[in-house]
Amino acid sequence: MLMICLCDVNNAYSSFERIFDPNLEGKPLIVLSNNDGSVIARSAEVKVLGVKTGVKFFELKPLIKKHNIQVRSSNYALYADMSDRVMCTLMNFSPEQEIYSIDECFLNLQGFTDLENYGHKIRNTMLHNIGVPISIGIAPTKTLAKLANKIAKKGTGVLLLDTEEKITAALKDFPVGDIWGIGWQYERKLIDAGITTALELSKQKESWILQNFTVQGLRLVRELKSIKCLDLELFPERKKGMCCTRSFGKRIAEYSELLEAVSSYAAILSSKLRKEKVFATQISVLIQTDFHRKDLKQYNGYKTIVFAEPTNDTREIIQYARKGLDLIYKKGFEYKRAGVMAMNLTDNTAFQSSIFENIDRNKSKPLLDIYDTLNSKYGRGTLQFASEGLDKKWKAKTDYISKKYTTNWNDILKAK
Amino acid sequence: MRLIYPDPSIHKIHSFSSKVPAGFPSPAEGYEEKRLSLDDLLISNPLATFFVEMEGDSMIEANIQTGDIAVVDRSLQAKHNDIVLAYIEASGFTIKRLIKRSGKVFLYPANKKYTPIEISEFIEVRIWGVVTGIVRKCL
Repeated sequence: MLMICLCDVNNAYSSFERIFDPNLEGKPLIVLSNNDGSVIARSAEVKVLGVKTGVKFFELKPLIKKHNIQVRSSNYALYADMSDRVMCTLMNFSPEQEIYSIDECFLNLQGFTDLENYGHKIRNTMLHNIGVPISIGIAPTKTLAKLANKIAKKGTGVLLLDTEEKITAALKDFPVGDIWGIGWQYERKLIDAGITTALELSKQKESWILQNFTVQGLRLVRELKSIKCLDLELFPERKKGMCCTRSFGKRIAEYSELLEAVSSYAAILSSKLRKEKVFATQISVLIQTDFHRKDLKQYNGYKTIVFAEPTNDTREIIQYARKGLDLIYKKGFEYKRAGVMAMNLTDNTAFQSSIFENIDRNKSKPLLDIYDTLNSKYGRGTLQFASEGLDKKWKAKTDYISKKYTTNWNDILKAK
Repeated sequence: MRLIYPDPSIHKIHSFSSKVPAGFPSPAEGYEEKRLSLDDLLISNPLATFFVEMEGDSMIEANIQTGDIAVVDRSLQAKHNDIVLAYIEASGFTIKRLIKRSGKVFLYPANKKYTPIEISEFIEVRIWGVVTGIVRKCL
């Protein structure tokens, strides 16, 4: 029988923070979104207090004081490295792995025996070698593995659904809205139809499902009945687009500051493109005012610029981004957010000349290689383009950020 | 069931062949071996290895000085006489020698100025990892 295992790091960002600051263990902890705006991750202790993801940070301040909730800005350099360690360690437990998100992956455990013990072995290894708690659901389909994982989180951390009886018992009390792939609209429709548990859903006629929930819904119901419809995606498709969109630390009205921000995002985006060895054929530039502030004048600008030739050269992409910004910038507004998005990526490199007179493409590679090497060795911003600005007053707030314990020598743990 | 751990360093091997302008093959071709690397010498499980900076003189007699970088492997099981990185509640991270003696467990400094810490029910200590090497820059 096919057996799929879903491994999921419990409260990933909180758990990553706790490895390097064990003092946070057992304490309520929240991690804030980019720019310290709202809650993006919560420890179990915070979930118990009823704090939801997405709540504005400033609205939480009384509760933070009352319960002594610990606060961290998101430290993506740390989370990305810890996620890599988690995923590569998990890779050792199965010949096939699908990395589903920064904290979840599927493993193919077909042909493995004594699966419950194996699950505990995976869990203990992660706890010991990396220091993070993970939950494990093992079942015949991806949808059931997801479901088993959710139940495992509330129990011993490992749940194996390998018999009809175990699956039925698991589905019996499982709320229909918690099933993987069921959004709130489907949930409402199902509850209106009197279907509240996964077991009830799995017993519906296929014709009724198909009629009301399309073929995607049918697949989901079949997966609940242990019929495999979703394969492991072992080779992720190349990204169709990439973007760098961020909120500023404060609202900015000046064109010059906006240009710095857009140039910086264009530079980050270009580095991403080169890392993936792809070229963009167009970019879109976006600027937005603060839509939370209804008392201020609102404006959203958006413009797509199609390139003469595909490129991933920072210098060219900054110039295109500037062109886009010039076309959408309007004076008299206070902007809160900007972004640069690359679309229609290609790996075609059959072109040689630049349309910009001041850029010699033959010199691009050595120049950008040095730029990328220095910035990856000594940190982003070591070498930067003048248009990105020096003091970056618009930069996002990260007032509560922990250190880059694993990616910067100046930030490593200290011991007495 | 037996687990086979692939060597993660395999993924990092860069392939390069020497460029010879006129077409004379290098006499060394085919004999290339991987250049020595400190990572290979000091790190056996890169995914579970972290670096920690020593502060203070509590391990001076074990030749660990302030500013030294300790290579810490979490995947190892700490044994008697290992140098470990431990976290002591309300005190912080510490590098000490783990000593198990007559049913008791101690964190031993390597400096007579300091007293050993007994790990007991009164003090919460967790062993974070085992120190597998020390790195010191001279310049």
